[in-house]
Amino acid sequence: MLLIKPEVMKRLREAQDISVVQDMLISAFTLELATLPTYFTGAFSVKAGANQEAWALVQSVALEEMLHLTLACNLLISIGGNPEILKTGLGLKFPTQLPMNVDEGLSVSLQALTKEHIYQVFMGIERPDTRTPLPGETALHRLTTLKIEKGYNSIGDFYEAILLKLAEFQVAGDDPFAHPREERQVNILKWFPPTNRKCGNGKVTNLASAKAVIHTIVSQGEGVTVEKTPIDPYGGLEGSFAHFFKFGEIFYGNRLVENALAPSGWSYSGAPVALDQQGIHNFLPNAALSDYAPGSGAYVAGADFYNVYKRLLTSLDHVFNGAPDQLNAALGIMYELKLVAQKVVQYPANPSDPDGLVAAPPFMLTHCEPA
Amino acid sequence: MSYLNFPRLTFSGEFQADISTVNNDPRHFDNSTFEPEFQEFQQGSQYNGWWNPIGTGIFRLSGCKVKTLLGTDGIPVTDPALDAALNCVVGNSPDRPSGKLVDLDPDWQLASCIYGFSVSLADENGKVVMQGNYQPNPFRDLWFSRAPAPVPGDSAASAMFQSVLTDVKWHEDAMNSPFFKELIKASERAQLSIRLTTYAFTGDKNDPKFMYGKVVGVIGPAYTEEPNSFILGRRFMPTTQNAAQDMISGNGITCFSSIIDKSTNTLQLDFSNALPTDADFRIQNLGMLEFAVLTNPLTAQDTQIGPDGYCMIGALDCSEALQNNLSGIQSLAIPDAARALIHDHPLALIQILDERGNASVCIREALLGLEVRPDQFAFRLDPNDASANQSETTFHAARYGIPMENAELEFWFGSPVLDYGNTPASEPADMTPKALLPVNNVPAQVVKLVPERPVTDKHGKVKVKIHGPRVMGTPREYFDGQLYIISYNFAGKNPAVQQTYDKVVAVVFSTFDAPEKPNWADVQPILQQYANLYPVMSHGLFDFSKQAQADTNARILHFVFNKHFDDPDYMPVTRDLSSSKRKMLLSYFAGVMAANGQISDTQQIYTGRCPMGFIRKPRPQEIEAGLDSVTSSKLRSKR
Repeated sequence: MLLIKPEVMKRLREAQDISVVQDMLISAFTLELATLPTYFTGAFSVKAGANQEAWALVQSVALEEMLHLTLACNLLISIGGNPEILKTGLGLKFPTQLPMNVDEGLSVSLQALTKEHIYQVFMGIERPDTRTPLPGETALHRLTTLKIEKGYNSIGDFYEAILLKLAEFQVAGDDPFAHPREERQVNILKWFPPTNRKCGNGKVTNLASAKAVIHTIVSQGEGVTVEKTPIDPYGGLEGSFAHFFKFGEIFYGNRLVENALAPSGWSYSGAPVALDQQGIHNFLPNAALSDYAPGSGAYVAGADFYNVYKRLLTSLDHVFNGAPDQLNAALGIMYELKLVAQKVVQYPANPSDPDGLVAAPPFMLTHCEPA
Repeated sequence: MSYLNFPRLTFSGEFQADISTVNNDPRHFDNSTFEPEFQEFQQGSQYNGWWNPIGTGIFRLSGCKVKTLLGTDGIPVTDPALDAALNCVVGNSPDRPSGKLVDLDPDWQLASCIYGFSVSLADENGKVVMQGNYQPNPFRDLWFSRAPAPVPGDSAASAMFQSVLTDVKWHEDAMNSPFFKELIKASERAQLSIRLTTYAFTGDKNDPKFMYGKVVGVIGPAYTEEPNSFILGRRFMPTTQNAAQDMISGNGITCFSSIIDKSTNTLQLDFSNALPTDADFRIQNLGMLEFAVLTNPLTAQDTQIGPDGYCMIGALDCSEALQNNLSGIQSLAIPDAARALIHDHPLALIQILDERGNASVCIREALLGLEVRPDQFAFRLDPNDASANQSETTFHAARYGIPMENAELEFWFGSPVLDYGNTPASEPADMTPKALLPVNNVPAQVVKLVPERPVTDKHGKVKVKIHGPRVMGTPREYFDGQLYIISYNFAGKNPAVQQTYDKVVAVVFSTFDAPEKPNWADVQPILQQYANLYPVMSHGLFDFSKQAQADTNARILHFVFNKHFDDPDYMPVTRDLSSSKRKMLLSYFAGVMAANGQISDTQQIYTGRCPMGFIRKPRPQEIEAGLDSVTSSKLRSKR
């Protein structure tokens, strides 16, 4: 659950110039981008062949965050902004508050796929914005309480405010979509498997398409229709539960099944779901390349990995700044990222402690803030 | 003009060649005798998947820095204050997947070629000032004895990749460098000549630099008239061979080429690949050796001559500094006395024996100065596709570096040969692969070279076409196609002395009649073979030999099998799939996508990889269908 800083909402609601909305969308795509190292690290921590269901789940979430990133960038492009993917990606530091989030809100870190990490971070990000008690919980979650007490806005509120502001500009005679630069936007039908979404090719050319795109970003992942009870863990999607509940099955260790006795109508009391900790690498948390000794296996493979990551960001930067068909190359680099990550995890983080923490593929060069 | 002319820049650093070795033993291609151990690392004398079964095939440059600039005047510049080009880093594509290093065939692992590789020059701020695409070309002058025992196997090997960079693009900032301005001006058609000499490879998985090696490189101007893949010039060629079949002189030097640069009246010698190293891969000190012109063209290697038997040029610089900073290329002014002889007398490297000037010939130019080599020499011919069943190459012939007109060439087709080199026995013996050894060069009369007896024109060149047969069977039984090894040389009684692996080699794909509507049984054996040979894919990504996983991933599989041959992500990486088998795979996956519609749940895409399937809520029709099944639980009731 993302809790947007009140000052951000205020600035957005009071904006007089499109540049403010552009800034807001820059924060939005930064948010999506920041989730990728989080999910990728989780996926990379799964040993080959182990914990297949958990691994598949994390991968599918990562894919959807990439879709959200794409849609947020399309929206930014349509109103005249240019996503600086490379600069933004290289500047990400972990652990971090997600952009625009309140300080006492969710902190994301790069860690192995443990139950604790699933609960704190993955379920934290995906937590639906609802006051209904969720399965497995006897009291309201800390973030939900915080939201209620302080009256914080959700990501849904944030995007709603974006739409209102864009409509406002349009009514005032200053059409934000005057030059949507469609040729610079990515056609999602070409690159992403179709799911139950209503935003067509994902390009934004007017308020209606902006609405459709925003709806897709907000509705996936959380599943639960906002403010409705009882909850519907399918969230309108065919086939399987929304991500929050799939993660829940792994955390609570049991399948989510209908249960008339539970307050939410559902409980994690079905067949057991295993997360074999032996099948997870014990990663060095929030790894930077500088954590590894130069010349060590972790460093050489880690440097390789960071090189691929940088290349991926460079490629995506070109995609969203005039060369959308280069997503072709970016896709290839993403596979390369996976393969090179597999090399990194063969090494201990510290060569003098071969049975200790395992080297995690580094998404940062150092822990210091970039100049 | 090529990299041996001016202007040129040199660089040195490391390369990574993460090649997979499960496919090193052709017997591993036999699905029916494939063992799971063939995907594991070698253990002692049990070969398994050899020394890197989890290779990705990635080839890239790493940590390469520009070392020296030599402008059109040939004078070296090393001070960055004089030219910012010296601060540049030589690297790969900044925004594409990595290039791949690929053997022509498991029975010919002696012509490894780089595909999908881009070379870039980036300034100290990381801005790319030049980028070009490496035109795929296999390495040449491969030898295995560069480093002494106890350096093992491929670590002691060394080779040269020479090619052109095409579609070269410069950033306008390159104009701030006087050197880059000269280089742009000297090159034709947005192309540059590039040469990489690679050696000191680490095949020890316990070394952090596993699959890395040393590279010294050079970039210079490219001209259309010159061969792309070798230097046609003055070629030093040993006349002795060691047990590893390497041509090496008594003091361990292998063949290398040189040219006379007219603009500076110097001899430019490239021995980056030729001088022996110590066990730490540093160029050995060979003592005081001198380059000279021999006054008697018939003086043999290893003979002793008097002071009148040669005319001095200059001392050999066999320093590590020359190798690293000048990419192993030495520049020697040609004294007047040598200049008179040099165009029709052989060059040599000699060792002065005493004050009277008696000398011993260590290594000399090929007899009669004869050289003949083809620019492209490794071919894939596909009888399933007429347009891919023929190719063409240009042979170049020269005598003492001067193009030879009217030279007649001849071809000798290889006799049947078993692939002994890549099929070792394991200990314990029952872990030796059980498949039979493949035989190459059979059936005969399959590949045709036209004309059969080519004759060079006034530029010393002749085009030769190579044709595959109309139909090709499966002489290698469990894997596709056949390898043909064809020797070439001058016709008549004076052939050129050639490097061991300088052959024309052609892989001919087997004829394959693909069914109109392929089903899983049609495609499974092909996918099984790839899953066996490339565990980095089948274990690291998904096991496409299992129908559930292949079908779920039909989209991405169709995508990668449908790429252009030169694309870094072309599948298979090894480029050993015939056009008809490839079409069949594409047709199968297209059929799967059409029949199943798109997978609507992204999670299914990933869990479709799990051979156990994954638990999703069954659809009503599936429940209905299952109720009457003998295996359905009696407890299940309708929703």
